[in-house]
Amino acid sequence: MLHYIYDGSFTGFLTLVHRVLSEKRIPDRISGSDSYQPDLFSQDVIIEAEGEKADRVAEAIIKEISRKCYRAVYRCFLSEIDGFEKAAVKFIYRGFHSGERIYQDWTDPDAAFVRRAEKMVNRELHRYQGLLRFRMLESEILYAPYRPEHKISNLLAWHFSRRLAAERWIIHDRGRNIAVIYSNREWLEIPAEELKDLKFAGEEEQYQKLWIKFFESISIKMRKNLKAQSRFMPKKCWEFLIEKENNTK
Amino acid sequence: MELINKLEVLADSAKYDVSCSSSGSSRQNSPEGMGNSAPSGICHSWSDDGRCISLLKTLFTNSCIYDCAYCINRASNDRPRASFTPRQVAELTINFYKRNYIEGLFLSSGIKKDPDYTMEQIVETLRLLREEYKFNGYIHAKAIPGSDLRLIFEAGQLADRISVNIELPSRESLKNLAPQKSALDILNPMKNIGSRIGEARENRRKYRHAEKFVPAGQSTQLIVGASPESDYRIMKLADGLYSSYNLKRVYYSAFMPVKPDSRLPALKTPPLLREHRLYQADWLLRFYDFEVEELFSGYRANLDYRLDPKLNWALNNLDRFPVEINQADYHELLRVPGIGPRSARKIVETRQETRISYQNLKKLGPVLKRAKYFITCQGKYRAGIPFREDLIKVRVREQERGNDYQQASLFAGVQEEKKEGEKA
Ligand code: SF4
Repeated sequence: MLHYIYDGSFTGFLTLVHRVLSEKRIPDRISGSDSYQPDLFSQDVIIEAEGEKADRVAEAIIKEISRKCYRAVYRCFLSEIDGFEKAAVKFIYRGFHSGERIYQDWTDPDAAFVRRAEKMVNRELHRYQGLLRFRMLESEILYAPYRPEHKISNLLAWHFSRRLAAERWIIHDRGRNIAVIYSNREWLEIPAEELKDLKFAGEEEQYQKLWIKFFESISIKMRKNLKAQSRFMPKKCWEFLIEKENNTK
Repeated sequence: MELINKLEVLADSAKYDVSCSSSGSSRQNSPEGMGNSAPSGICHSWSDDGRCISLLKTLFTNSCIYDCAYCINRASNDRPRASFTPRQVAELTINFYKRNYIEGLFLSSGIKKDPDYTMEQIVETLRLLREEYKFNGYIHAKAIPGSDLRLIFEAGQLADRISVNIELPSRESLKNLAPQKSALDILNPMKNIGSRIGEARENRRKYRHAEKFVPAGQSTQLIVGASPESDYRIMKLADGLYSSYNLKRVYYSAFMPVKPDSRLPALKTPPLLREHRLYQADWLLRFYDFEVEELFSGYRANLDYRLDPKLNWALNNLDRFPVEINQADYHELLRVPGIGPRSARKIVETRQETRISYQNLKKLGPVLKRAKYFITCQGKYRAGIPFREDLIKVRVREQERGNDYQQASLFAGVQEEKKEGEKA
C-alpha cells in the first residue's frame, strides 16, 4: 500500500500532485503531517514541499484543464472534508486526460466530490463575509476571532484586503489556531500563539452596545420569526457574533 | 439625548421600510479609503423577524411636520422624538462598517422644519461620508418629497441608490391618507432621477470616466393593505414605474397598523401573504416576461393568494402544456412552474449537445416536483397521473398547500436578498 505524507500546505499538496503525475500512480492513502499515523503494512513516502514543482503543477492545471478547475481544486483543498486530498488528486489526474470537461462530468464521483467541497467552501466564505466581527484593539488593530468549518481565512483576507484596505487587522481561526495578519496591502499567516496584546480599545464596548441596540430595535415584533433567523444564521456561528454571543452560554 | 437612545428611537422608526437590499452596485475602494460594495449584496445579520440586516437603516430624524395616517412618525402620534447630526450618522456608519456589522447606510427621514432643510441634512451626511471619511461602501438615501431638485441630484451623485417612496398606490388614497403630500412632489423627482440615470448610463457608455449617478438605481415602496387598491392596480402601477421611470425595484410592504384611525382598515395582522404574492408577481414581470394582464385572468382584480402566481397562471392555461423539454423554446420553458431563467438556459444549452433524458434533466436544476405536471421529456409525461385538467389541479393544490403557506411566512420580508432571477 502506497502512502504519501505531505506537510499539509497547498504547496506541499501540489508537490505531491507533481509526484503522482510523474509516477502515473495514485497513492492508496494521503495524509497531512498532523494526521499522519504510521501503519505497519504501508509503504510511507514523505513528500517535501517544493515551490517550483508546485508552481509548475498549478500552471499546468490552469493551462491543460482550466482556471475554473484550479479554483475548484484549491477550494476543495481548503474544505478539509474527509478524503479531500485523494478526491482532488484523482480529479486532477483525470482532468489531464479529459480536459475542462471533467468539471461538468456528472458521472465521475471525484468530480462530484470536488464540486461539492467547492460549494461548501464558497457558502461558508459568503456567510462569514457577512458574519465576521472585528473588535478594535488598543493598538488600533481590528481583531476578528471565528471558528469556521473550512480553512477559509485566506479567502476572507482577500475580501477584506479590498474592503478595509487602509486598516490593520487580524482574522483568527480559533479552531485551527491560525491567524492572518494584514497591514499595508499585504497579509501573512502566523501561528496564533504569536498574537499578543489583544486588549480592546476603550471605545469598543460602546460600539458593541450601539450595535446590539440597533439589532434589537430594527426587528419588527409583529413579524417575529426566530426559525427563519436561525436558518439563515445557524447557532454554530453565534460564538463570536456580538449580537448573539451572550445567547450561546 | 445619549447617542444610544437616539439610535434606538431612530432605528425603531425606520424599520418599517423594507427596502434593505444592498446589491446592484459595485464601487471600488481607493487605496486610502474604506469600503467597497459587492454586486451580489451581503447580509451581515438576521434580526429576530428573520429579515436580513445589511445596512445601518435609520432615520435622520423622526420628527415630522406632516401627519400621514399610516405612518408611525406622523406628527399627531405621541412618541419620543430624536434627531442625529450629520457627523453622528457618519461616525456610526464608519465604526459599524469597520467592524463588519454592515454593508453601508440606508438613510431616511421624517420632515423636520421643511423638506429642503431635511434634504440638506441628508446631503451633508453623505458628503461627510464620501469626502471626509472616504467611505466607499453602499449608501441608499431617501429623496424627501417636495425638496429642491438640485439637492436631490446632489444626493444622487453621492449615493448608490435613491428612493422616493410612493407609499400609496393611487392619487385618491394619497389625498385621503397623506393630505399634505402631493402626488406631484413624489412623481416629479422620480421622473427626473429616472431620466438623469438614463443619461448618466448613456454617457458612461461613451466615456468611461463620466460621472456616476445613482449607480444602483432608484427604488420605491408601496404600502399594501392600507388603502383599497386591488392587486391589479398595484401591479399596473409597478409595471408603469419600471418602464417609464427607470426604476430598479418596487418594494411592497404589508401595512402594519400603528395607531387607530377611522380612515384605515382595522387589521389584526399585516397581510404578509399578500405581500409575498405581490413580490412573486413582480418577479414574473421583471424576469419572466409576463404581462400584468396575464396574471389576472378572467378579470380578477386580485391574485389568488393560495398559489404562487406562476403556478396559478399555468393551471389556468393548461392548453399551453405540456411542453416538450427537448423542443420548447426558452420563453416557453420559462413559463413552466419549477423552471427558472437559470435552468431554462441550461436546458437550452445542453440540448445543443445531446437530447435530454429525464435523468439528465434532474441535474439541470428545475424543481421537478412542480415542473413534472407541465412537461414531457422525450415524449413521455411523468406526473404519475394522466394529463387532465381536473386531476392536475387537485394534485398540484394538494401538494402546494402545506409547503407554500409555510414558505410564505418564512420568506415574507426576506425577498430582497434572493439573488435576482434565481427563483423558479
Ligand atoms: S412625511 Fe414621511 S415621516 Fe412624515 S408622516 Fe408622512 S410618511 Fe411619515
